[in-house]
Amino acid sequence: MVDRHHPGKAPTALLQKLAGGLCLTIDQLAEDLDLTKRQVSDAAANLLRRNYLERMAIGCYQLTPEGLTAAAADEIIRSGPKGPRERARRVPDTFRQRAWTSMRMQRLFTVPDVVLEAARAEDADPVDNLRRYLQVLARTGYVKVSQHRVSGTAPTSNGYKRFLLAADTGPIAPVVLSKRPGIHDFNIGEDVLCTPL
Amino acid sequence: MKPTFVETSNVREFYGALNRVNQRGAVEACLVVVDGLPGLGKTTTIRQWVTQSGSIYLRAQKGWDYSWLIQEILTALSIDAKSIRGKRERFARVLDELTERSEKAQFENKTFGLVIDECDMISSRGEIMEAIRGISDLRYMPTILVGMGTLRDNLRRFPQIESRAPNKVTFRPASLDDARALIAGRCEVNVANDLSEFVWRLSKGFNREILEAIAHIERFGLRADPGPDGLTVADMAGQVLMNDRSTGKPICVPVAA
Repeated sequence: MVDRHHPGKAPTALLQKLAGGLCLTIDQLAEDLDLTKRQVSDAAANLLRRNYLERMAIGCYQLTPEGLTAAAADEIIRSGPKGPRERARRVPDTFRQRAWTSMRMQRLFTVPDVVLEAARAEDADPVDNLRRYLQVLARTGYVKVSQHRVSGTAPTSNGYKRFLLAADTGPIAPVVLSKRPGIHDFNIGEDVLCTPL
Repeated sequence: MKPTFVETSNVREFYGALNRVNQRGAVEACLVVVDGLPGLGKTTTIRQWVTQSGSIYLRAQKGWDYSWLIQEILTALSIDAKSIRGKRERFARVLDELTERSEKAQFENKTFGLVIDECDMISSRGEIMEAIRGISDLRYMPTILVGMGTLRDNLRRFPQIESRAPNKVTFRPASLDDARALIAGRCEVNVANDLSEFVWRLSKGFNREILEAIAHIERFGLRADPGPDGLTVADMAGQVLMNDRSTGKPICVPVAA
């Protein structure tokens, strides 16, 4: 008997049951697996989302070639994500979002100018965070770095780089991609790639 | 100079005005007028608030008309104005978008508003001021008008607008305590009380001049070895502290006789 309360047991049992390539009806499957029709239907929907199953007629299921391969490999269906996240995730109130808002207002700025407006007490290291963000924005052409620096006050200071916001695409801050060099711009809905460091 | 935002009495008064708007009795009284001389920290305060709250910031331009204003708001809201045809449709879209953001901010217990900086340029033009009143009236959204001397005078010409702005904030020259807080918060060198007082007196309470003095104090103080009380007037004798706003000439710390 299949454990009815475990989220992956019924889809795994269904996958194994259809491993022979047969086309079985929902009634037959419910009887053989000792499940209700609703549970068979839910398990089938789970396999359909993974493209392992096709519905030959109403209430009649057969495995696809991908499903047959998965069944042959004794794949166990588990709950949770089906793979890595492919889209950049947008978090609304981050330090980088506030920094982007500040950059749009100032257009010509240095790192301290932006940190002054965007940082909060709970931000761990806003200066370092902004520097890393600006590095990627500069490589994708969103900001330009001036050849002239604003002089610093410390004895050995090299001064502060001056940046110009060159591409103001909208109010949502671009997010740095983790797997590829570049950013995802939510304002235009595109990835903007650059050469790796 | 440390990139720290220092809360002076002007900043506290501005936040107080925003609180009064949030707790207002008459829903339509949602305009806030912020004015004061240049160099008192108006723009820095407003920008810091906009950055932290995610509000909309517009900088008024001399040639603004109704369509231009709506187009600027749509651009600030990341909506392509060209994709919407017709004045009425654009106006409706602005209202929809502002409502959505305002409700979202309310849900998160934040204040969302519309800020129009350099408002002196448009404050005498009825068409624009009525359009701003219209937007703020329809959604009862806090609208902050920032300007210098002429803004308040010009608003008197429009009683229907002025009556909606009981909250007026005038940025005043910094007090001695404000100047001390600003120096302590931003300067990387420990500064003694006599030098703080000297900077405050010479700057006449203008933040811009105080920040200029902080840069000079840091340049000197990071190379010198100040005592335990910090850098004093005597330590900085003969050094340039700031430039005079009216004459443009450098002001030096006097050398004791």
